[in-house]
Amino acid sequence: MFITVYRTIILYIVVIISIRLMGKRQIGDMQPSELVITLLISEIAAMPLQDTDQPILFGISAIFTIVLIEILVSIIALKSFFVRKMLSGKSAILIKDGIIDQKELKKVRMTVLDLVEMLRGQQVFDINTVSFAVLETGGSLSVLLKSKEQPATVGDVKVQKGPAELPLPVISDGKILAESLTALGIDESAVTVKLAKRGIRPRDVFLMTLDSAGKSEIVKKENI
Amino acid sequence: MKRLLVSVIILGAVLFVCFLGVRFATDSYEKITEQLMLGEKSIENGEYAKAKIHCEKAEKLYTEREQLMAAFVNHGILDEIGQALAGVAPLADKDSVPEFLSLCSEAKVALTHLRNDHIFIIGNLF
Repeated sequence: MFITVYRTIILYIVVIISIRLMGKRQIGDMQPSELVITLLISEIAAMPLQDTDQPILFGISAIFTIVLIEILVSIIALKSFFVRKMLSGKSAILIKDGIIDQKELKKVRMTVLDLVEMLRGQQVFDINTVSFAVLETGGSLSVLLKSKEQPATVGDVKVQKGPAELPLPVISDGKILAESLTALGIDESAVTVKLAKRGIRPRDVFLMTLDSAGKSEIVKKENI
Repeated sequence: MKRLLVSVIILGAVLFVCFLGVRFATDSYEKITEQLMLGEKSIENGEYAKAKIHCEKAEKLYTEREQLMAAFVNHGILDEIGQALAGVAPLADKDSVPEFLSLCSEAKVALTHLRNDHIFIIGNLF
């Protein structure tokens, strides 16, 4: 009984290390080969857990072999277009100038209803407004609207705007985040002074964001 | 490249431990089988006490090494060996020679699984 608990802890650590070694990716962003590898790892990790007759080393060695192969293949794929194409396939243009490429749609085994659903997911409700719709190798649909359908940008309307600033969280649940202060190039006193002006103590702050221009947003803790 | 290096180091370390484990299991196979064969020879020569000593030695060797081997060998194989070895020594007398020899062969077959489990052969590959 306890052996299963210990084995689970060991395998949990091994799986986390192996997934971290392969790099961060969301399930939806995975290439087909990465999805297969992730499923394989979870399956292999489950084997020594279900069957305690199997040494845990069997699972660990298999997992790290897969990780090494995956890293090697991804390095090769970075350098070779052919390998990349073999592993991930290639993207398919499904709509061009508002016209659905039915042959391509058949090739990727998608129905027109699937396509319409994916377009709706991209806030596109009229196929005629689409200049290009590309089915990416990861399975997502990228849509480029026709020029006249694209929303106007700041550049289009010629409005003067300063550079965009990235607000960083400097206090989370009463704790000052030193990492954010370093990124903004300020010290703790700059934050406490800003808060003192409003009569707030750092420990009473639920969230405080600050950008490099000095603009801040403060959410106070609620008495729950 | 950093990830590759880290995974190579980890896999290298795991494989090194596995390599040591395989060597340990193979060494155990050889030593325990040797004792069993000596036991068989002794019983065929009518040296029952000597046969018993060899079998007990084999069992002792196995008991000492079982825990470490369990990290590298399927526990089912180890159970099979343990069961066979436990029954051999008590049969080392004049009246149980056929049973003794039969159980000795059984133990040797179980030990062969221990060795064959790690050999790079087509059967193991598939």
